[in-house]
Amino acid sequence: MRKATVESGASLLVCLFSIFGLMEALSYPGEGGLMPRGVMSLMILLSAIWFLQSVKAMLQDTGGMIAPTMVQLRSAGMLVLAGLGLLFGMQFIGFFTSAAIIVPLLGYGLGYRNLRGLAIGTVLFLVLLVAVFRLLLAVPLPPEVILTLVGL
Amino acid sequence: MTDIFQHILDAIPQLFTFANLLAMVVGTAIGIAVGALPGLSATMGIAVLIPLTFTMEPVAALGMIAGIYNGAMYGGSIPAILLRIPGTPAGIATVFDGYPMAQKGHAKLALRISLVSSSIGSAVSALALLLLAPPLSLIALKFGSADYFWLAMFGLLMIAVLLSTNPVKGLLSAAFGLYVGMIGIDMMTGIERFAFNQLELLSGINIIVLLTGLYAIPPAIDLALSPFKPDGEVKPDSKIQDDEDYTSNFRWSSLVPVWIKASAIGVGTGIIPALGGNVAALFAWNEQRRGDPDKDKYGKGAPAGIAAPECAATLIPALTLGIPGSSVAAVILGALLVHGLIPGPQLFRDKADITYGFMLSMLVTSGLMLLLGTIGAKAFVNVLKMPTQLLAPMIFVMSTIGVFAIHNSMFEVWMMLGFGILGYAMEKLDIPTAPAVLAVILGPIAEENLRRALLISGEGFIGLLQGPISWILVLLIFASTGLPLFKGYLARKKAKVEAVASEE
Repeated sequence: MRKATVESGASLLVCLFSIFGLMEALSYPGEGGLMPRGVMSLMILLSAIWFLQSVKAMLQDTGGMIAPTMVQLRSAGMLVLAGLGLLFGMQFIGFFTSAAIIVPLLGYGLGYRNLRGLAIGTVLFLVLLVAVFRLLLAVPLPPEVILTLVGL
Repeated sequence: MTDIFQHILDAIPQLFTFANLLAMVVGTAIGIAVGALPGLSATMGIAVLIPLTFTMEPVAALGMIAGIYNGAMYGGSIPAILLRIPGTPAGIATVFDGYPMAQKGHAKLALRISLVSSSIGSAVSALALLLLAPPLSLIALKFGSADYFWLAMFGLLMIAVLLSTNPVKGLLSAAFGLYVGMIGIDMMTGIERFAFNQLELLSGINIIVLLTGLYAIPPAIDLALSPFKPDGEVKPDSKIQDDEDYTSNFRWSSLVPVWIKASAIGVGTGIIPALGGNVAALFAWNEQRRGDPDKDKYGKGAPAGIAAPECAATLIPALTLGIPGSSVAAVILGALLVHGLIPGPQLFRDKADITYGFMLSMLVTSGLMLLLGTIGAKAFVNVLKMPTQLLAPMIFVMSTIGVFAIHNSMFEVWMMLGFGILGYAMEKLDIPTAPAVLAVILGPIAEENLRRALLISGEGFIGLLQGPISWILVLLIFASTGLPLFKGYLARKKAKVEAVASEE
């Protein structure tokens, strides 16, 4: 897809967001609303100029292309899934357990096929995480299901 | 001047405690490693580690950040010399002569020159910061509310216009940052702004959430989507087998004039707000080449061509005026804010002990960098072998736990990821993220001073233009924002004329 097309869409989105923001800012009373109204008006103006610039670039056929490959799209999909897996996983099975599953799986999925490297890298990384966040900073993280099961 | 030395003497004992020294050593080692990894930068390193420093004492935390900053400046030259890939933006100029020198079989010497030059440059920059920043800030202490408002606007506009090829995008980024900075309860009137009845938004958006999202997630996505390099493709250690005779016979004294000139350029360029280390490095390399009678040797492996760019960088305007010269300086301002230091001249009055401690830690870490770089040269070169496919999930996991650790809030983790996706989209659409970060920092300062100035003057917006400092700043705003627009207009005009001429 042409970059100018993406930019025109993005500028329209920003413009809509800014109009919504300005409507919200108009309800703020007194001097507390001064800056919000000014900033949102400025954003509307700037996004409108950006939109015109992108339309001009589209008409003149200038600017580059945004063309992700199939591999990149697949990697992006895996990244989203891994992200969701980590965020939901950390609430239900614990952060370190989720990380121990997600890091090697995502690494493998992204193309790193050295199983020994994956294992060593994951273990060292987890040791570092536990040392810093549990032992050094003592951050209260959600309970680790595996540790709870074995009574720790 | 006596005050400055007194503050420095007061800061020394609290800097040299075991915990602070350890923080600086760890920070410097992480900085070199992060800088050495292509695709990662000091900005990302600091953004990922800011949550880690959240619970640390301010001096230790800022010492670690100073170490990451200095370490990454040198670390970036490792892939620049060995692989022709600049590890950091400032490493671009190092590629010009570093890579050809490595190709000639002098990689070890090239790395050594880079390390020594980088350490000298960092030390000079830290000394300049220690000696020049306080007097500069004294001038700024004469500022009134209206002047502070214009100063914040000047900083924002400078970075928004100069960091982007399209000023509209830079300004839009700054406006977005101002919007983010307004979210939450307004401290002066108590009204909720852009919080939409969300309890988590009432206290505003934590700067760490924004920094981690904008600076740690986009590089992780980039690494994950970059083409896969199979094991063994990168073998930097095979390239550092040097010609020992050449290395041992190298005359280091020949670089002394280069270091003096490049350090002066670094400090001189760095004092100008919004011109960062990247510009200084390119400028220093170009000046070195221009001033040398034998210009032809540059770009073909000249040792002076490595020494010059590695020597130039400074943070003076970022600390004294709150105007960063680069993304990394903007992130450092964010880190200072996290530890209760509001950027600007009041830093040297209100939190002198921590501010001087931070500046001293910049000096100490430049020495640590030389030490660690020498001892661990081989280990840092081996960092290049780290598979990016494994690195991407690790950065992602580190960022997630780091942000969660601030308030144990999943809402903030989701918000960080949202900012990450936004930051990635901004990068792809050539919208700079540094103006947004700076606006989040400077926005509340600007608003508070604007409202105070309006209240004091009682004359509406005319009251903002009553002092000479305000007028000077307004003129500077017009000059700094108008100049790139005028240059762009001239460039377009020239291109049009050239196109017509070529058609004819």
